Amino acid sequence: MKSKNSKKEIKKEIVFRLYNQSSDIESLLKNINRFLDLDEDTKISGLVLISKYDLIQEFPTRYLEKFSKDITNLGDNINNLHLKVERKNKEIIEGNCLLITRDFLPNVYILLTHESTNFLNKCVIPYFSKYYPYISKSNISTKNFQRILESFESTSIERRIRITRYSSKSWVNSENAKKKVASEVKWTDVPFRDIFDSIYANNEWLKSIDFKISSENPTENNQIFFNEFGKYKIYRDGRFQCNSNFLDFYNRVIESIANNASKNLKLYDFRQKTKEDNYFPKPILIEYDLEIFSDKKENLRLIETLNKIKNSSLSVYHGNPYLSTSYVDYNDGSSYEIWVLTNSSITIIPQMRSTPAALERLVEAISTGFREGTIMDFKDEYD
Amino acid sequence: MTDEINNLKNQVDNYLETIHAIISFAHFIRWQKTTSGGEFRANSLFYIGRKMDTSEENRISPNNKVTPDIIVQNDSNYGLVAEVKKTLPQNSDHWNKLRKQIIKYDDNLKGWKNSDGYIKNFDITLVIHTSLKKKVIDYIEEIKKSGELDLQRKFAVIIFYKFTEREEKIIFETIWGKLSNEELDQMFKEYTPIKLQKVITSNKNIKFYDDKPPLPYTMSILWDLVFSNIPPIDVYMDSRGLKIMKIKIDTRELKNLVKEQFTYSDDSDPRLPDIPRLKWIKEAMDKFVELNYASKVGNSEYNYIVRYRRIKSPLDKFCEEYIKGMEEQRYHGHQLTLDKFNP
Repeated sequence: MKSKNSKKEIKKEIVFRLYNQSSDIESLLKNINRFLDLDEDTKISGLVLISKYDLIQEFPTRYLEKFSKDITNLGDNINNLHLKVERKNKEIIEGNCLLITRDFLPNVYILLTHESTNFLNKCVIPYFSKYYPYISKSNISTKNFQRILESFESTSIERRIRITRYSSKSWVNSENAKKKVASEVKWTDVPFRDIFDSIYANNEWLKSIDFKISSENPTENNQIFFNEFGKYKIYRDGRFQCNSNFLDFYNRVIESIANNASKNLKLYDFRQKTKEDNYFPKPILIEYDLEIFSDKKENLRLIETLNKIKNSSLSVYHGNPYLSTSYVDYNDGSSYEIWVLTNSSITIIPQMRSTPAALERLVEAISTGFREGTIMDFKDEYD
Repeated sequence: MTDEINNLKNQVDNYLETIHAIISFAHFIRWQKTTSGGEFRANSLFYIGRKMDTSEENRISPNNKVTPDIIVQNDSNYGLVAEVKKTLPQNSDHWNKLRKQIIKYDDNLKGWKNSDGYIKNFDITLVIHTSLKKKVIDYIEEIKKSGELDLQRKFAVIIFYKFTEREEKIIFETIWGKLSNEELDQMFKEYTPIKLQKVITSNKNIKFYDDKPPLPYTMSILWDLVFSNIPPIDVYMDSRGLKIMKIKIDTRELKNLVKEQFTYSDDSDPRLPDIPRLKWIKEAMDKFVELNYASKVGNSEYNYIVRYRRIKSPLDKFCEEYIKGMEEQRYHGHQLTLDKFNP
């Protein structure tokens, strides 16, 4: 009993230190590692957010009846964020998280918490979703999933990442199929490159991956050094979980997700037409490595995908052989022209209003509902 | 009703196809390849529907104004005047108007962007859709033979059509006559497809030219691309896609907004046509009122309140409602006729 109580006390103290004494990244990582060392059930969850607002100095003002927040600065770039929500069933969910900024990644916020998944999913995410498009998540493409894992594995020659579970989507090629996109969840235990080879070969794209670290040639020494019970998870929308080896996970995975978010923001920002530019277009391109639109039924499939996006509208001006549409996102009034003018690409031309969040949402809907491609600035296309 | 809706959507499509042809034509003439990809020729200019002055020697309309569909000024010495047609009336007897238009342009037109408004040399082109090729050539040959098309300037008939290979392309090809600029003449005689993607992404997004568009088209442009931008983001966040957002509209301001964003018209240049016309915008707003998407403010001629909300497929919706409205009018008109005979 005494031992249980003292374990509780220790945990309480570590959690206190985590949210009150993590004054810099070094102390933060130490405090997190102490927390994760408590037992194998402890984990750190989090997500990456992007916002053009300075969320620390100037959080956007919105009256949210059921939510309350409190931000306390702990040190350079680290803040304690306490959130509370009263749900419809009167249940109160509250907890702490850490909001981290990086000077070299303006507009990107890393949120970490030791609290339960319940807190993250029912308090944190709903809270920030109320601020969409001012604050939004950023998505990870299948190729970026692979890059993140390559980077994580490269921290040590002996380290090998094995996928234990993954969730993916793929096309359904059958004409009789009512659903054109199939979802799949697989439990496995294979090196991560094998999974990606299979995913690319089957025209799938990833929604989430669970993985662990192991040593290729386990020895007595290695079994002590590598934690084979480590559990890691990354979601396509930038959420993550980690229960050990947090330093490497932070440096290689979380920072990669944050870098990815920053790149996405740079790609999607400032694309609306402006008077200063004489309303000239600033398009982006979704490029595919095969001539997907050589079959004109794919135009229809793309229209179906666009029509399914919640809170949006679509006017189709020309459907075949080329596609010309205008699309409006009613979450914030962003509008776009979407064209298919080549067999291997989709051209998106932002109109008078285009928030980075809306453009990313549109691209993600196409990626996960139609097909994943490479997103690029139109100017980068070789003509 | 489906046939009528499809017919209306074809009209919308034709309107847009003509715009594509106009922009692509000017793009084709002005674009030059460079080591970094390409750019518009320096000092080249392009206008849609520019008002030009005719001289007193003009054989059809002296000391008057003409408004060709396209004016391309390649440089200070050479230009092109073009009339663009995707469709023509079936009966070629109506084509006399077209013949007169061409002859009107055969004049020392004033209105070019040079200090004195004149240009050393320009050619006249009739740019038509390939489907009109045979009929137009037969007509041109006929009026040329009869002496009804006696021009001093070089005149060429150029067809355009879209071609889908691995990319959507638009092709211009001279099928009759020639241009005085040898380089351009050669370009138009060679098979040189232009990538539509290049045109769409290198030019301003034009939605209107100097011809009245189908009403549902104007309505969907306003709904999708203009009204969407008016409510502040915070209002959208509060409405969550469900609530109606009220937007105050003054049709004069709305017209100027559309003009600025979706045409090449410029208030500082009096020769540029007033596109879109205020009456096109007003007609669209009145239709919104009729369909209960908006209401007028008191007795004001110009002011409306739009009840802006999500419509799943605005163009389709407006086409359907437009046709439905016309059918109802026809029915009531028929009823009135019947009532007249059956008091």
